[in-house]
Amino acid sequence: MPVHSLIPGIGAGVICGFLAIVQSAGFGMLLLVGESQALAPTAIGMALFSTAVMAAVAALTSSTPGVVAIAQGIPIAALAGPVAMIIATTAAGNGDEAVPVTVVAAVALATVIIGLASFLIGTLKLGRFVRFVPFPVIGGFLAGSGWLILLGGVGVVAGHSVTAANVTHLGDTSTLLRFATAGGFVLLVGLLKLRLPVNLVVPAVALAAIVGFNLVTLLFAIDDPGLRADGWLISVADGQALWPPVVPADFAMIDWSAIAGQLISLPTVVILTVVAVLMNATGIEMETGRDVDLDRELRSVGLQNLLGGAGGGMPGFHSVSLTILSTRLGAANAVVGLIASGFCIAALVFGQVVLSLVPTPLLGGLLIWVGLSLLTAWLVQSFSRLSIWEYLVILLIFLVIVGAGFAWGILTGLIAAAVLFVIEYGRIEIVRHIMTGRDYQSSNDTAEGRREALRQVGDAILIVRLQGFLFFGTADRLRKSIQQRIESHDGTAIRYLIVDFHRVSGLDSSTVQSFSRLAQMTGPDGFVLVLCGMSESVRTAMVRGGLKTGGESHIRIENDLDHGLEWSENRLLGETTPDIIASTPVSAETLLIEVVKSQKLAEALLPHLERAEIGSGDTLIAQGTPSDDIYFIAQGRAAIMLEDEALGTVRVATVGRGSIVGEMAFYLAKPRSASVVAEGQVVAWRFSARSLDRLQAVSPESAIGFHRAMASLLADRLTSTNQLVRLLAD
Amino acid sequence: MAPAGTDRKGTATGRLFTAVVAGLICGILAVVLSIGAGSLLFSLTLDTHLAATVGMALAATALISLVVGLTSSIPGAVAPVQEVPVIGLTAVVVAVQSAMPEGASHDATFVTVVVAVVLSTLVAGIVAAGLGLVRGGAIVRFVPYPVVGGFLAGTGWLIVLGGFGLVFGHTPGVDDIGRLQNLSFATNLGLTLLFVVLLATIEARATSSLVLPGAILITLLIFNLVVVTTAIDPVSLHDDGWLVRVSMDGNLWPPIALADLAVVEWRAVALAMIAMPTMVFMTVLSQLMNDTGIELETRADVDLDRELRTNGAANLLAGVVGGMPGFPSVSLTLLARRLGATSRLVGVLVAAVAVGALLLGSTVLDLIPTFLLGGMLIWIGGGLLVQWLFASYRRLDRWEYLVIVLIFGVIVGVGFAQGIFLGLVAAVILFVIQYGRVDTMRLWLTGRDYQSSAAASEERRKLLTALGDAIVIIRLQGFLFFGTADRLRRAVERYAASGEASARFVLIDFGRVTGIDSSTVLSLTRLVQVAERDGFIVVLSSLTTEHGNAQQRGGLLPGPNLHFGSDIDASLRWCEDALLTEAHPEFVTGPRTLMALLTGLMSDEAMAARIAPHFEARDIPPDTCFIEQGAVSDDIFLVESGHAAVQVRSATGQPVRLATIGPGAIAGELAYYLQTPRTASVVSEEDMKLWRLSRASIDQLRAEAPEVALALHQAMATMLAGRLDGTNRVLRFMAD
Repeated sequence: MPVHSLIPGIGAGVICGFLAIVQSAGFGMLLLVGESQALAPTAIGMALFSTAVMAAVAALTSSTPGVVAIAQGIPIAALAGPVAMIIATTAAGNGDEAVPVTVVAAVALATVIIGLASFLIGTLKLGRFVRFVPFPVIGGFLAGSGWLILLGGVGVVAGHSVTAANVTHLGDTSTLLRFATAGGFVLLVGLLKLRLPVNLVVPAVALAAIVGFNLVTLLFAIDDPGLRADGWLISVADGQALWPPVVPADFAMIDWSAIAGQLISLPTVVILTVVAVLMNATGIEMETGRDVDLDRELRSVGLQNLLGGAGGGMPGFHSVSLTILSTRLGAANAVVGLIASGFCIAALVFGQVVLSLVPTPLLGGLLIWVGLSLLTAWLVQSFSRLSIWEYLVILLIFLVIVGAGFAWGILTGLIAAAVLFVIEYGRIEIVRHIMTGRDYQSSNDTAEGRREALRQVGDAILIVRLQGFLFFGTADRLRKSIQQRIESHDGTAIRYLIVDFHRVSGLDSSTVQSFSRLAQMTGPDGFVLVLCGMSESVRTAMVRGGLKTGGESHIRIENDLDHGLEWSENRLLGETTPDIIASTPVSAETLLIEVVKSQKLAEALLPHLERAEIGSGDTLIAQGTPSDDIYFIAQGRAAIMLEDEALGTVRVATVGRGSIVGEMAFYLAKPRSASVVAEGQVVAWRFSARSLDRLQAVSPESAIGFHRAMASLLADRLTSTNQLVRLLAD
Repeated sequence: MAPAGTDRKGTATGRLFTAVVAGLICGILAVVLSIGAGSLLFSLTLDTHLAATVGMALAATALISLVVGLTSSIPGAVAPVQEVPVIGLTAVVVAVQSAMPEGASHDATFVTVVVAVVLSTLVAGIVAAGLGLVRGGAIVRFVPYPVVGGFLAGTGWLIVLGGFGLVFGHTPGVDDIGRLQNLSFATNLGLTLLFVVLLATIEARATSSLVLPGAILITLLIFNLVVVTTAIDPVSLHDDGWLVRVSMDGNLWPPIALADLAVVEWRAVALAMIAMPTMVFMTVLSQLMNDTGIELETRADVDLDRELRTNGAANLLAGVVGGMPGFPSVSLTLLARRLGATSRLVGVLVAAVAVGALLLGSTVLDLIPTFLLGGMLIWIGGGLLVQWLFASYRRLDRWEYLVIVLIFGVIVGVGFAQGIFLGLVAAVILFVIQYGRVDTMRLWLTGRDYQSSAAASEERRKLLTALGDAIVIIRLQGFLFFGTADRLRRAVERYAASGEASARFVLIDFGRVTGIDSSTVLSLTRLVQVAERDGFIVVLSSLTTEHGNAQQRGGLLPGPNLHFGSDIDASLRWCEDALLTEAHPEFVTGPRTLMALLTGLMSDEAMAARIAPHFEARDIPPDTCFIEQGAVSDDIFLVESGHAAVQVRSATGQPVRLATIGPGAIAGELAYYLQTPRTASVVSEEDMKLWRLSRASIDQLRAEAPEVALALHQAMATMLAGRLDGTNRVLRFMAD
């Protein structure tokens, strides 16, 4: 490693190391609620040990250079509740002397399990599933954690945890002075944060406070024991080491049954830790602009906690503020973490000295600050950033966490977020288009007058195009709106109801049920239900749900809207105007006059046309072949088929008497874009590029007429295609 | 199993016969249920007035059955007093009792309780009717199908239990196994099961709807004949459980006289009203669930609001006669329908039987043996169980089936309300998971395939076809939420990391997105970070105000790597312009000449030179409409410089922008060839230089230089074919 990156690394390591000690000590004290502050040195020792291990492991395994990991407040605060229960059970059952060793065993066990779980999640690459946790739920967790950390901070300042019962005991002068100091610290940090948009305010103020406090005690020669007695310093029994928290000889006293009783809360702590790792990783990502491999970070966190827990530590993970600090100091390398780790080891060894440097109001103030900033971010600032309902989910989770605990908060939040989504989604319009056969017709253009006839009788066909996911929130509304449309339809009765599922991504049994009820209205007196464009899963659900097709049934399934529409149109026209369906042959001349709209031009063109006749299934034009001719279809019908890599062979349109095919490729001199396949006997007239050349030579006037006629035809098609695009784009 | 239905129609006499049998059986069962409900209300506390409370229940059943039977949209509906509201009323009763002053007499307490019950029933009726009037019945329509299924399965279980309960004399338990040694009991139980088999067989085989009620009637006759001929003591029949055992001695009705109202403790009534809302809520909700369940099973089209109104009115009347609330019972209604009775006569007959019981006491019940009554209930309940626990397995998706089983399990093990609530939660979560798997990325294409409308000029289109891969267009659809949000980000990141990433612009179109939540905004924020790192630009288009608000609130603001476009066309044009400015600055800024434009169009310099003199230059100031929609004109314009908007007047008169045209574009050619009025207006956006070619010039050209005219028309046809080709491709993308 080059020297020029080593020096900032050492500098950043020293600063981060000292801050890591202060922060870990504060977080460690979060573990203890109730009248168990006697355990404070043990807790601080465990936290310092964890930080020592985690900072080193993170430095060596993380994907983010310069990362600093420490014991963390969120999982520790979540463990505080179970630990309090364990303390109560153990003290009642096995006596007070069994309490420390049982607490240490419980916390270490939890840490090891958190480590195992994180490592497993990271190894199985399941980290991405954490990203499915709804944003408001994450917000709610963090607000709840903020509340617990805030309470913990107040407890650290007060010297015991604060409840409604003992809140009045805080009135003595020393306690008030400590709170004033802590409050002053929080206020100072807050004011500076408002003015200076940098992340270094907290560490800087904390360092200044420590220096100031120790200067004052030195100047006024206030002795440590007095400060301890007044609660300004954390009291440590003489000769008590910060680490190891317990000696192996005590293991026999561990009250395993008390620990087992609280195992139920472990999953919550694990989830919380993983989510918090995600949040911190995202925060570091946003600040450093570097993409974090979440799975690798989870594995790293897993290792940190496995090793930390094995040595009797507390859960922890990357610290956003310290990592940012080291990055800002230009020390994006592993040296920072290793030096910070060394600092913590030193603190463990010289515990007394270290603890007498840091006053409790600072530790508490730091925690209060962290808690308050979480609360403001998620209970105040989020109000303007989220929709009102999402904000209410955060508030709900927060209240449930405060009132009933983390597990209930998570569960309530997930359910609330899901219900919120379902309600929002249920309000979405699922009918994309509703139109009649008069407005929208199939691509079948095989007979003259067909479109005109459909404009007369097309109202008997109702087309409903659906979109989205159909489920119980929308199913009944859909049935009702279709039913209403059918009943309100003035004049013509609906004979064919075409429902297009092309854009439907899925449906549930409530929807199938709605369609079964709609199907009850089908029959000789009602309408025929034509279901089109169903995906395989949708079709399976429909058929399985009891929708009967074929035979006597008046329900029909077609592959796509065009086929369904064409089938309905044919049936409808067969009843109303049968002669449209029947096609009569036409002479080449009549055909040409229809196309070029001039008898003179048609006569001039006629000698240049060749007759082509093909049978059913034969190909008139093959996709991909070079093109130099245009066909005028005089008799029969043909399908325009498109071969597509993704979709297979699809019928794009049907053409028939009077249609012109091949004109686009003719002009563009491109290979054929689709095939034309005869459906039955087809008679067509062919006009080739050579014919055009001949025509140009013999009669330029006719050639001009031909080009003009073709340009008009193309302009006409372009206009109607543009209209259709506009209709669909709406 | 065939659904209970009306498919087997018979003669008028046949229908009458069926209705009479169904009415009689349902009437007796309704009486039994009412006695049960009446006893339940006072079982805890007021056993001294059992007869009076049973009378209240019977009177209510008579009235509600009559009203609902005559007015319901479910013909054949049987609506006795129900257990659920009675459970709710128990809380009211307990509240009254605890609020009574010390030393109040039994009678005063009873009168006060009756008044409180009547008041609660009246309120339940008013609330239901009110809900029906404001069309509030629709809320139950949002209950997922599997939840209704689970509800019916649970109901089926309780009906089966009730059926056995009639035969056993109490809810069956494990201890009852020992009773099988009792020959009389064992025979009764055996007959019950035999009768169930008989009913099921007849239903499956019989072709006439009369066989089922006929068989029941014959069974009834045989039983009574045997009893009469063998002269068995009725008391021993009761003791052995062959007949329903109830004590209905004492004054059945009216429960209190008007004069008693003087002793009512009104303060206790007022205090007891605290427990009333729960009871009203439970009543309305279970009525709606029952209606929905019956609707599903009978395939009748139920107007829920009408049901709420008429049932509310019926409960009001029931309250007036001192009763408790009732509504259509799943078991009895299905029984009547499965017996083939869809006549309103059923309700009338049920009412008549209830009145008979009021007048004659329990002797009415001695006509029908428990094995017949119990067998019928087991048959109905068993049918529901088979339908929803077995038959539904094939009809439903596996997860939806599990929701039914879950609800059933919770209903059996814990209770109805919990079962329904859990089922709703499970259905919601199931949907969220299923929807989360839906692909929200509808289309994924590049700027080579899909170009903005500004590409109306050949030259621009050719350049873009070469450069277009640098634009990735992602069209989203559906609802983006926490279940789907992050996938988009990961897909783009994967694409960027895949190596073939020449993408400079990632255009994400929200045109088909129906909603986004804050998790989506978070994902997009992260995507912009990736963009900053990897050096591409994210363009978000077609965000509606609603989406946009969410984005802005979430802190997503335009920056060097994030651009917002009003719609996909404008956004795409923005990307294309940026690309072209970079790659071909001369195309964007460089001067163009008419000759260059014409050469591009006609691919023949000589022809271009010959046609150029026929064009006439025009300078257009900004905001000038040079082609007006509806105008008759057939000039063709060639744009040399400047941009213009193509727009149409919408139905409301507002101009709707269709496209933007710029240098190299041709305008007005469609109207020229089609000889129709202009279909859209073209309005300049800045100073423009145009070249105009009039129809007269083209005609003149045709006369003077046919070969030039020929080349012009051929070039125009080619240009049109090219545009049609492009539009067709767009159409395929959109229609897909």
